[in-house]
Amino acid sequence: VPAALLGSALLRRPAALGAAAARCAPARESHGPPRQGHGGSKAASLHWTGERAVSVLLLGLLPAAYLCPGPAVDYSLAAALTLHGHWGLGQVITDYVHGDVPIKVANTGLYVLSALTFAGLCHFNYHDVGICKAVAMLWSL
Amino acid sequence: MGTTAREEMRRFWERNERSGRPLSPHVSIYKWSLPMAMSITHRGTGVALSLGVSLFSVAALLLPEQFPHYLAQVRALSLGPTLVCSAKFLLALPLCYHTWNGVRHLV
Repeated sequence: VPAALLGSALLRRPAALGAAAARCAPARESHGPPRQGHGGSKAASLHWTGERAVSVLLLGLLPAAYLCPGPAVDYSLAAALTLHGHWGLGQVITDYVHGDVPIKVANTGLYVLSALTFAGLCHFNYHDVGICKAVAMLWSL
Repeated sequence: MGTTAREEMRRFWERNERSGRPLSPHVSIYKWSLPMAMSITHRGTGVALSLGVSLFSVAALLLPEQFPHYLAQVRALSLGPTLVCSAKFLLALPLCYHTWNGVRHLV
């Protein structure tokens, strides 16, 4: 019985939408806001906030790397650096790459690059001296 | 109800691209300002730093020896303090610029 009710409800909605669409087809174009109000998702604004958060985190990791070098900072740096770079390059792609296919290709390439970067940094942290120590050693040259 | 902004944008771009109009000069003629220059430098340093980090990562994955080995090789080259200092400066400069300008953006 619930399935039947659900089925009839589903059948009713398309008819209602069809009638609404017929009412909405305008002779002239109106510039009112979409019927649903927001009509979109908060993904973009959340992404923006995430970008700022990671930037602040990365900024804090720089003195941390100097003052308390170690695996915790090493891995956090690897993650924050990769993510910050990934999002930054993503913005560059969005600004300069046009066309559906080039955009898709560029973003896929970026994902591959970022994955490789994160893998490489983690590998370096695990099997080698680690980011903090490496910078210290390099600067003592 | 009417077209959405997204639909109108799509139609505009379709018609615009179909007409095949040439792009008018912008960077080549517009008078440069400090904010413009700082912004593109921020982007340039960001891209350079990202590519540098990625290069380092890929090298870490591919090269057979550990970091101290290669560092010792560089030390063995005995490049002289001027060159070493300049190299450090060239590495530190984009990082510092991008970091401080980044703070300016965050605030």
